[in-house]
Amino acid sequence: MMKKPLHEQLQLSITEINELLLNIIQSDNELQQPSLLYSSVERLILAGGKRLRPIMALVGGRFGDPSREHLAWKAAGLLEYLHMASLVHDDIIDKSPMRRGEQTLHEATDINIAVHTGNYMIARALEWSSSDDSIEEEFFMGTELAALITELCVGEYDQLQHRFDFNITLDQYLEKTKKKTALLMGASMSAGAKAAGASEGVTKRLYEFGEALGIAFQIQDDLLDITSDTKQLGKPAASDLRSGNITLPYIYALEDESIKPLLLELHSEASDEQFNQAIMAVTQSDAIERSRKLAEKYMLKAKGIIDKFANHPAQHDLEVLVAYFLKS
Amino acid sequence: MGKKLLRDTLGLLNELIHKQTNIELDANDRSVQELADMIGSYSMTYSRKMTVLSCCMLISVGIRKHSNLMHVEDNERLTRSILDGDYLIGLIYRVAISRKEHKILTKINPIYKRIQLQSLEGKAGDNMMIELKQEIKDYLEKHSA
Repeated sequence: MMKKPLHEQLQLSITEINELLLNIIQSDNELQQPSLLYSSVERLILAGGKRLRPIMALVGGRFGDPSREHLAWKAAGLLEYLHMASLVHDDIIDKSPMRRGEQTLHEATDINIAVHTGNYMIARALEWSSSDDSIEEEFFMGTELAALITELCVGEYDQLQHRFDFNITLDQYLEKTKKKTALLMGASMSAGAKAAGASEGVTKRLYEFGEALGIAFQIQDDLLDITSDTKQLGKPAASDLRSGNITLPYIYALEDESIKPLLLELHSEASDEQFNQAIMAVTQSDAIERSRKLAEKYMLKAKGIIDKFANHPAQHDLEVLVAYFLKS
Repeated sequence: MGKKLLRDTLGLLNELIHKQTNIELDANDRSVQELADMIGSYSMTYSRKMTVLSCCMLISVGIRKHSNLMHVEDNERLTRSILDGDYLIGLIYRVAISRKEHKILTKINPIYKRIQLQSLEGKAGDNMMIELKQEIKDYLEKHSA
């Protein structure tokens, strides 16, 4: 039997989350409707996505006071906007033509429009998150999350500086992964909890839980990039390597003396044949299995954290999240 | 007073900016110097003045980094401009929170949003520094001694 989607397993409605995301732009009195900006943001929202960050924020919120649930929803909306905006800018940087099988925003419009749309989304989400009466506390939460942008950027600078750097170590890869992906997932869990008034200890543990899941998620994403075809991905296969992003499978493969020379000869101008040969060798090596094992190790770390929430009514929700990430 | 404030704030920001970014700010912008003079004239601690000026400098440079990207053909330069702008804007929030001046963001954030709206409508942000100066003046009137 097909397992229910994640949101259903957690008694959450994707429609409700999407309505929340649409409401953020629809309630902006300064935004012309219809306009190119409105339709661009609407298109990004309707393109879908797993909504992992808002889901994680809402689960985090279940560890706080139920009467403050609406504040966890604020965190959820803000986090998804931060995530969507960062994807818009990432797509320009990575020159990605497609995302989720559709044209990326800068391809459908132009670079200026895409950059300013991303910027607008962050500013608007922050404004929206503090638009109720209790402005002080909510605004502080929002600005704390917006401050994470600097760390996300450092992850990107890191990736930029290590393009086609085959000397990148496992520790450097994990550090970059924490900043690029895991940080926002950890923050999603903790922001939801904090917004709902959970204790500092609970908030910190939930951050660690989300961070461990985030690292496992990124490793799985890196694996998908190399093991899936263009049709499955909705973007060119093995685009990480082709753009010089040396992810975990390649770091492991570099330990194999028969594959190492194939990887070391790659550079931005290398031929498709050179890339294809290296990619084929990596997919047939034990680098794939070793990468899976490391992802599992982080899953186990997340599971270990769940035990610390024994008997909490929302403990099961954390187990649902781990089971989902394990199957991804 | 304004010159020293500007120099010290620049030192603070260049210290805070992550080395990996390779961003280095300078103080050649005349409108930022005017802001430094204005902020310097209010009665508040020197540390707070530095924070307020930091936010102004970051938004000014951050916005500039994201201007006219259509004509940047070199991909490395384009990437750096996008990342630098994102980083500097993110740093506004970080600086304001860590130095306990987060109320200033209720002034900065709406200006930042309006500038994005204007840019998307094809209007150049010529009035940005005038608007920023006005909003900061309003903030200082309310939040200085």
